[in-house]
Amino acid sequence: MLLRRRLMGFLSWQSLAVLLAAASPARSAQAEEARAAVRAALEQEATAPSLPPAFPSRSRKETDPNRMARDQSGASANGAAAAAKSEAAARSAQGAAASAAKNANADSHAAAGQERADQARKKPHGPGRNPATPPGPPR
Amino acid sequence: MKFAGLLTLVCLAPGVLAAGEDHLLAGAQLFRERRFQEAYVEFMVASRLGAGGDADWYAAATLVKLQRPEDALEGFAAAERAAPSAADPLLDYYRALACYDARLFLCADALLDGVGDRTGPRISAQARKMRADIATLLSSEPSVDSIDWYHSRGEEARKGGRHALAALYYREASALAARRPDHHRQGEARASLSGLRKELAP
Repeated sequence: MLLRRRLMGFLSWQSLAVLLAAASPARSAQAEEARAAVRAALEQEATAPSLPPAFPSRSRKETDPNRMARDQSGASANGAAAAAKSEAAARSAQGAAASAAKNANADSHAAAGQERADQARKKPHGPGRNPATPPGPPR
Repeated sequence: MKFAGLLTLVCLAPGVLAAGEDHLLAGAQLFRERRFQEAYVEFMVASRLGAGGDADWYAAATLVKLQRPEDALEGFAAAERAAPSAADPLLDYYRALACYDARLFLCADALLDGVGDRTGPRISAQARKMRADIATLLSSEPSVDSIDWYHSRGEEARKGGRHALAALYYREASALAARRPDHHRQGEARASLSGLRKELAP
């Protein structure tokens, strides 16, 4: 009985060691492969900024639609990031993030439209308009 | 009984880890396809499944592509705390982009200095160009208004509990103030940084 128990114990630890030894290199190779794939993707997408650097200003109104969309996107997607605590939560965050991005995009279009409307409003209209003012560029 | 438990653990643990790596692979594929929102989710899932600290860095880099520089900077700070050894020049380049997009140009410049030629020729050239542009900007004296902007962002971040981000804004405000003869609000920026260090300390 004692011999049997000892044999079983020995076999158990032997099997455990074999299983660990077999699983470890395969897992490590897979991990390396995954990291290499991510790095390749990151390198491919490492682009330069589209805007030249400029100091910000508290008083200057932000007119760049890209920056406006970015700020909006950042604000509204915070909740989505926080929700990604598990796979299920992360899946729901995906929807939230997509919706946030959609909103940000819509906001940037809306902001651009508002800007155009404001400019149009500033231009003189009707019979009293100043003839010396040159017409605006075609859109 | 014990053996059965151990065997289950041995069999399941690699499965969970492999699942984490599957999500990293999926994230890489989505990132390549410029589907950054989905890539971000995959990296977050990979991180939760224990794919290693790298996943947090990748998630932060994805936030840069999602044009969420402030979230990215918070993500990078958290990733650095969790897995400092995972940092490398490529990830530093993404972090510099996040600084640049958040208008933390001195922060970006310092990171790009470290990137140097330690990445591929294309990224190195981009880093050099960005540094040259930043140098041109910094050749002019920052206005009082600009420094006030950094203080205001720092205060906002601090109120929102985003202490790492707030520290970045105050550090920038302090460094920019040093470039003015009147050192506009530099003492205030330093005091705020000192307060934040206490809050950021583990």
